[in-house]
Amino acid sequence: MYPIDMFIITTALLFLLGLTALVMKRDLVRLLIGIEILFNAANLLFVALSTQTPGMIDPFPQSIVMMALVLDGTVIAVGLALALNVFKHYKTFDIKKLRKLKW
Amino acid sequence: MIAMFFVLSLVLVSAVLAVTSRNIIYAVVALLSTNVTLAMAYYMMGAPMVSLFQLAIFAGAVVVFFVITVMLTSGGDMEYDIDPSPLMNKKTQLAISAIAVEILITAALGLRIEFPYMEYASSTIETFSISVGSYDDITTAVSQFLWQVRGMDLIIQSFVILTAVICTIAMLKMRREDK
Repeated sequence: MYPIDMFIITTALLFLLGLTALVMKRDLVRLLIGIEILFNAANLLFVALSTQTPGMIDPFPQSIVMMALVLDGTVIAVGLALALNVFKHYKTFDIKKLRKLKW
Repeated sequence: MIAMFFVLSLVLVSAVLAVTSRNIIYAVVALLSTNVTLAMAYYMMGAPMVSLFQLAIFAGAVVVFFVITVMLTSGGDMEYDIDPSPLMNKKTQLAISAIAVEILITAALGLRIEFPYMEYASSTIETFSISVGSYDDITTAVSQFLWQVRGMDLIIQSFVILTAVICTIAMLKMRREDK
């Protein structure tokens, strides 16, 4: 059993990093990278909490994280397909330019 | 303990590289490194199946999707064209800083809380909790739990994934028809 402190600190830093990428970046692909880092932060804390009972392993958080991993992969795949379509229409990934292009 | 500290440091460093690299291919490679080191951390924590899924889905499939997207759109060529000025105004910056401070305070408070974990667990979960042993036992316990307790979730999740696959195929097909 590892102490929970370092996992909480790592999760907080990863979450902040993902949030920073979401807010500061203007490239659609980089936004998706930020979303993936956010997913990773949440999953890491979940798995870390599952191993905090001394001498025991709880399968519940692990099964939840496994399902979340599959769904996260689906979310990223759909997002990348959307990004491909956006690039095909507007020839750019810059969300600042995309905001001005309305139907 | 030191090994886990080292692996978590690697996770953080590669995540920082993934966010800050100017070349998008380097960013994707750093993301791959983040996912592989996270899988190592999961394995060391005693979650071998989660580690396997992390390697197969995040370090495998998703990174390949990213590389294919960059290849199809030549995204690596245009990142320098983008104006580096920040997207947000002062108010948004303040709001984001407040959220960051709140997250850090919550994390600092979380370090001091004695969370009575098993008191909140239902009897089913207590039944499935196993003592730390070989990784085979953990894998068997997680598989049993997944199919016996979360069976309905798995079926619903498979429908969600099927819908996402159909949507993705429809979007990519629309792209081909437009040509």
